[in-house]
Amino acid sequence: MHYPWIHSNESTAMYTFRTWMIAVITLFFLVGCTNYTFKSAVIEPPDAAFPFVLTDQNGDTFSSNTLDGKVTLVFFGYTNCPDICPATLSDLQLVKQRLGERADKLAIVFITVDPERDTPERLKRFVGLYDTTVIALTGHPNALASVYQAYGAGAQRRETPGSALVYAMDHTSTITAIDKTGLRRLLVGFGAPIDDVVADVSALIAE
Amino acid sequence: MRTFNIILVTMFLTACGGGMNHSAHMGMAVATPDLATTPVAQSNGIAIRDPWARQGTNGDNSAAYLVITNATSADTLLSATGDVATSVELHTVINENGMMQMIPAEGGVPVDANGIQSLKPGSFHIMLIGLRKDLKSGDSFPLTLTFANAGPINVMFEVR
Repeated sequence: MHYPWIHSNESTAMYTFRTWMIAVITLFFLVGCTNYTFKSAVIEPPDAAFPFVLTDQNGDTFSSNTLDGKVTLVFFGYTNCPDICPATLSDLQLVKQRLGERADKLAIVFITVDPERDTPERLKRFVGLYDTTVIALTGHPNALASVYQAYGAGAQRRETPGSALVYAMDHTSTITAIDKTGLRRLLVGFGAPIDDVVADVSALIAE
Repeated sequence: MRTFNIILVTMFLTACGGGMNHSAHMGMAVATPDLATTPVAQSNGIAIRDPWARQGTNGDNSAAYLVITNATSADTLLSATGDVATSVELHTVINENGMMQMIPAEGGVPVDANGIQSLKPGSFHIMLIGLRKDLKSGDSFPLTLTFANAGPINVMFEVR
């Protein structure tokens, strides 16, 4: 090979060094720049998301199979929670707005940790304040218990004496991101910057 | 040769630059209080800014938030009262390794001497239990905030 910028009087060692540099830089361009680094905690290795059949806010049976082909964000909460759960719903509504046309590639699933109080009607009212496309789910306590365990929801009832709330449900605020093939990929923490969530979800949609 | 190497180094430094930019935090949960604004209410050294509440449905719950600044000695927000809901309580959230526990704020919400206390999502908040009417974006309602030293302060909360 002959390159016009390589002078014939340069040593063979220098020529070899430069060839290697070009190879390394080419590799850097091909690998380094195309690999997106997730902002959220990465589940390594990814594992199959636990499948479930529950009841949605319209009272219809909902199977997690119908989420195949979409990126899904799953989180847990309850409608009597006026703080963390609406904050998460509100943030995810912003994420969806920011995705624009790609928003239909994202499903947001809210699973109650308080089936005793959260009827489908109540769930519908609650998520409807933010985003009617959110899938809000309840179900038989046994079916829900399996889902809590699989997703680390840690739902625990705690009495709140002296409060009109009667009881609160302790639960994780972490959002699980599932990719289009049904693998659990990311754990998004409460209060994560919207920009970071949009970037991570966009990367999963683009896969 | 030197020029060629400089070009290579420049390419290294700039090629991936676009992907590394971090833009502003947009999440409500990480918003910082804007103390440049005029307080909506003040009394005896306590000033109230940015009072707002979440939307909610008649019979359900909601939460209200605000930023308190204190220009004098330590004080405590003892209670919030109003007829917007059957019960108005001060609560806080404890985050234990991602597990969120919402509990009544025993003894009220402390405000340090010459300090700032934000009631915000994921932290101290005013809980409205059993709303007596729908709260829609743009609505407003009054609450009376009672401080141990500064006494009662009437504040209008805007629904967002």
